Amino acid sequence: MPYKFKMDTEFAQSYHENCGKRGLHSRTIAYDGFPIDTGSVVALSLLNPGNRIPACIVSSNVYANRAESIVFGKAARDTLEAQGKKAVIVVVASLSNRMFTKHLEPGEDRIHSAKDEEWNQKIMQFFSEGRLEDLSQLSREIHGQIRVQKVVAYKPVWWMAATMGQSNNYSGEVLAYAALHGAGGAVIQLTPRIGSVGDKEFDEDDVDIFTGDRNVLDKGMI
Amino acid sequence: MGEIVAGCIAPHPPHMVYADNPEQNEPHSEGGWETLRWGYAKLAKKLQTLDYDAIVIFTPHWQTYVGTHFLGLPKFKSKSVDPIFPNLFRFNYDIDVDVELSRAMHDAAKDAGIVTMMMENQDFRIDYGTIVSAHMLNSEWDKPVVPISSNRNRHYYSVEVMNEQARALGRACREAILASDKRVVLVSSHSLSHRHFTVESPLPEDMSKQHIYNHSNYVWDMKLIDLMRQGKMNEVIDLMPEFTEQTIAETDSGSFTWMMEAMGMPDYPAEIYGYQSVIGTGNVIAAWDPNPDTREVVL
Ligand SMILES: [Fe+2]
Repeated sequence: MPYKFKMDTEFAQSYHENCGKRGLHSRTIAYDGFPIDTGSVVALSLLNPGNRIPACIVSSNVYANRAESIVFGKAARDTLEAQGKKAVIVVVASLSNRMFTKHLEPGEDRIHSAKDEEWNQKIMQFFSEGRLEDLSQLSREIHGQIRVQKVVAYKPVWWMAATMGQSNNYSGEVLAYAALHGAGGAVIQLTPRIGSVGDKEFDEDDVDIFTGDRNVLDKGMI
Repeated sequence: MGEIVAGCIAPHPPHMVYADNPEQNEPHSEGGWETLRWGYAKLAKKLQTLDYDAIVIFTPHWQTYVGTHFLGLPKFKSKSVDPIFPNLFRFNYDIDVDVELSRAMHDAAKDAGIVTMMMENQDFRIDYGTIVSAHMLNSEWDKPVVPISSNRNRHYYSVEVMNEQARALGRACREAILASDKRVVLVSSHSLSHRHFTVESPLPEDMSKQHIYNHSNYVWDMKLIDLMRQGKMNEVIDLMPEFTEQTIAETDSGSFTWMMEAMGMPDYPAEIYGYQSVIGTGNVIAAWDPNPDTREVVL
């Protein structure tokens, strides 16, 4: 698919610097021929036709877990605040992601299993109630239940929640939901609002600075 | 009647090509990773002495989720920029594909009940795994290649399922090659242990910073290499699930299991050309030569 996107390089450079301030290792990329991933191409083409708004695409670090993902989101927020920018946060991800491993005609498509379907419905219920931080807290459970173990965690919701302020103060709307070769695809919109369904007592740590792996084994803690 | 004249483990860190400074690659280096690159040079020299028609490469960086894919067009020309190390690898490639052999393997796999597809989109970009392995083994690019995608059975099922599927694919490819009139070199493109460092030194080729990620990975790598030296390939394949889990090995692609099965599970010693770490990963260059007259003890 041919594409042409406009990047906000000033934002990217500053985001990169703010990552460093929070203990993350990052780099900016400016090479002709760099392969923009299909997820970004699809989302930007459909959400931002004509490049009306400049974009910033960030990668998913395969080794990152919760601490890095949360801090990475906070660094994005730092940058938005420092530059006084209004932004739309886009996460390109499916809900359940088990696909069929055989060729499928579009008419035959369906969610891979009843379990995936039930979890997708639960996630969409949370989203439609604006409960983003609740989903962030549930991320590990969601990953274990309905995510193929390609990566260590269901990170998008961590990054999204951290970038958007770690709360449940949103109005949510599920605009579409369909099977994508067996995986669960939903288009969901969250907009900030005052008041919320209420915050729970969360058991995941909050983290502001990434200080590296804790290396508990090396420290003789067992 | 066709023949498999050699099988090679050819690791593909882009650092290999970066350190070699070929004209096709944009960035320039001051060298690095000589143990691997000199090993590659020796194996490439050996391949020059063999009479063969095509290089078949199973690559972990062409990842497919619906079946195994084969290239179906004779020429691919573009620039490959590594998404992980774009600072090291921006390679202008011009690749000839042996479509006849590619299709023969596709058809044999399909007949064996494996989900398959021919990739016939001219805009398809060749992955850097294929390019690095092919370049290091044949920098003249004077033989056509046949890249095979890695179906991610490991993600959807388990390493055990990956092993079984890769063996089935290996059998099908072997049949197709023997039924053809081609002499081919098989290439399994991957590292062994595969945990990366998460930071890069300011000068990537600073060899004072290169070492294995941890000792456990090193011991596992040595265990495998030792079995390869002894020609105990059945044992290696049996160990593959455990090894792959323990060292996050790139053998999760199925490429090594595929190659061993296609070669009829060698019971003779592998030729070892070198072992070295690249950004923490363990890399071996090895070859299996079915001909006892030309088989060597290299290292
Ligand atoms: Fe790789």
